[in-house]
Amino acid sequence: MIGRLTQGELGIKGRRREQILFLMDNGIYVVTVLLFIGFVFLAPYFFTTRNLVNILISASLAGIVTAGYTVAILAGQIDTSTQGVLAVATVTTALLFEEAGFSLPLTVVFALLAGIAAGLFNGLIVVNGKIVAFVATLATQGVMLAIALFLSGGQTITIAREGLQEAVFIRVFGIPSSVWIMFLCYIIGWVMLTQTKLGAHIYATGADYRASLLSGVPVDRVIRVALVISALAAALTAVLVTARAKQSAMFGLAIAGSVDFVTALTAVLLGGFSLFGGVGRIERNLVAVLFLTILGNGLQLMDVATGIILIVRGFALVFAVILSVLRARMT
Amino acid sequence: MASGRPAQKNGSRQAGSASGNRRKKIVQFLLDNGLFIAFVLEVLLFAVAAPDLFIRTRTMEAILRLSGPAGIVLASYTITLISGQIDLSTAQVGGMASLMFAAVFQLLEWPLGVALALTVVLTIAVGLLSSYLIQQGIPSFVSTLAVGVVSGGIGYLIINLTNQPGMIRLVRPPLRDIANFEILGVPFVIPLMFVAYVIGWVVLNQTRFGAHIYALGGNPAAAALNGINAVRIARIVLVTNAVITGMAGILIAGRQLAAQPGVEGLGQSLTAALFAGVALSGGSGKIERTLIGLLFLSTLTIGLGILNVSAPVRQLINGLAFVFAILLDSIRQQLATR
Repeated sequence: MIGRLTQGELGIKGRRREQILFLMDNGIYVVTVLLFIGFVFLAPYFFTTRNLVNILISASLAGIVTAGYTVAILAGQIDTSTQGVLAVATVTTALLFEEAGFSLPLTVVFALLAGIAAGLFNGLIVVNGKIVAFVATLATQGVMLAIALFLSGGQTITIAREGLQEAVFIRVFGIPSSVWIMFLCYIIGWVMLTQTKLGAHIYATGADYRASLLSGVPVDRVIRVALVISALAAALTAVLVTARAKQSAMFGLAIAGSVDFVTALTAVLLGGFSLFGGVGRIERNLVAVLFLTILGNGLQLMDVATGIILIVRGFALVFAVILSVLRARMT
Repeated sequence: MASGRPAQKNGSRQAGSASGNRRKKIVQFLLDNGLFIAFVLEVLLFAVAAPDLFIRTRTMEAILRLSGPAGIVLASYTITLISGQIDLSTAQVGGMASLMFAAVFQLLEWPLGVALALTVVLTIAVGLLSSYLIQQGIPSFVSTLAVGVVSGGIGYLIINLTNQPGMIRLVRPPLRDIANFEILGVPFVIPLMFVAYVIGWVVLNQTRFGAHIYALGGNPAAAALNGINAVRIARIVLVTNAVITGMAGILIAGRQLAAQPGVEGLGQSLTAALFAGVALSGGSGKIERTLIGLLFLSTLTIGLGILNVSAPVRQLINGLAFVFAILLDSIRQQLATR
């Protein structure tokens, strides 16, 4: 496999091991709360209703991507094409709603279909091409970005027509709809992963591909489904992002708290998932997403330079992977 | 990345009959020599499509010039791939290095040597960070991905700190002339690229270190049992790659007269290497062939430019080339394990 040099169990035993594992499992909650309190004092305008709603919306958008991403990771597939799917779906949404004059439901359906198509394309390359997902999706992302560029002509499409933002970003019980949608995604994800045969198959495929294949799990179909779910979640997010911004979104410069696969990957790893599939709990991801969003938002409000935010983001990923590898070597 | 994927490649199909054997031989021949055939066809195609624009010294020189810095990186990138590591941080490391160099040399007006030395130190640090993470048991694709994000951040930070508008323009000589610097009438990046390849070839084929790189990439467990220090090799390879990428980043910035956070044109390394038969999983591949892979891609870029193909279509073609390259690698692996 690509570059896995150090393996084997760590020689930490007894109480110390329990303590470290406990910290790894619950540390994220403490750190998130501490970070929140810290920013209340350090970052101006952080603790205002407007900003808190802002954080909630950003976190819910990143959360939806992460929910789908988790399924792919559990099946052992690292999907790096998120940015490509987002680009295709946002351009589809904007073009159909603004230029083609489609009705809202039809626009959403077609944007989601674009996501499904992207996921199927990924599945085709990964399963039929027999290529590891990480590299395959890196390649397909290039194709997707080019398609988005082709469709949009390289321009940002502004949505002047009324009805998209108003219909999508309503408040239900005072909370933005995207938050409800995110919770819905997590509930569906939780039910699917823990209560259905498909969920069991996804865990099995990620944990041990060969054993699953031999014991009759339809591994190829499971991988396809996982990649489609990941792309579908990204497409749904793209619709919401487009509706919120009232224009086709640009996913070029990736900074902390934004929606892309680096955030999703970091959140999933912080959530305790293994990079190599098969283990993890989906609810801890929610906290990790919230943590990353608060981090990005707070730093931006403190007027920290983009460069620093990017560096912090890089080290967050580094830290998350180290944690994940440590966990794998201890259990 | 499921640990079971390689196993999936084995034994998924049975060996064929005699006619299947002949077909296998034809496929193998195409896999080995297809790149040369494709390159010749490509040149012929462009020559027919735009005879007066394509067949002239200026176009040939443009292709070689474009290949220069990318080829210098590709030489070390190939060695990295053969050793079993993948480096996804090249675009950001190249950009960071060019910004560092530009800030010290152009804005602070320090001497050339100092600027170069500082850039080398920074790229060494980045390479050490990647290899440290790999030593911790993190696969190189994630390590270098994270390091890429950090390097991009350092690049942006340099822009923030110097209050530049998104890039640093290069006007101070001799940097301005670096891309046009000529030896005996040839832009010096072209012989430099060949020198990089000769060094790479000698290291891989004539030294014990090169043999260790092949052994490590082919079978890490066996290499470790034979006393090959995997961590040390990974460190040397990744640090070298980071430093060379940084230098190429400066050359590219010199050509564009501006240093930017992300360098375009380095991302093709992976495609070129895979076209040339370097295995994605490491352990096999010939460095000299990757040069043809690179020339193929550079010719594609310049040729499509001459034919006035629009930017999205060009990007689409490049993307499909990458997809095709990894499919080729997959077919090769399946044939090898059958």
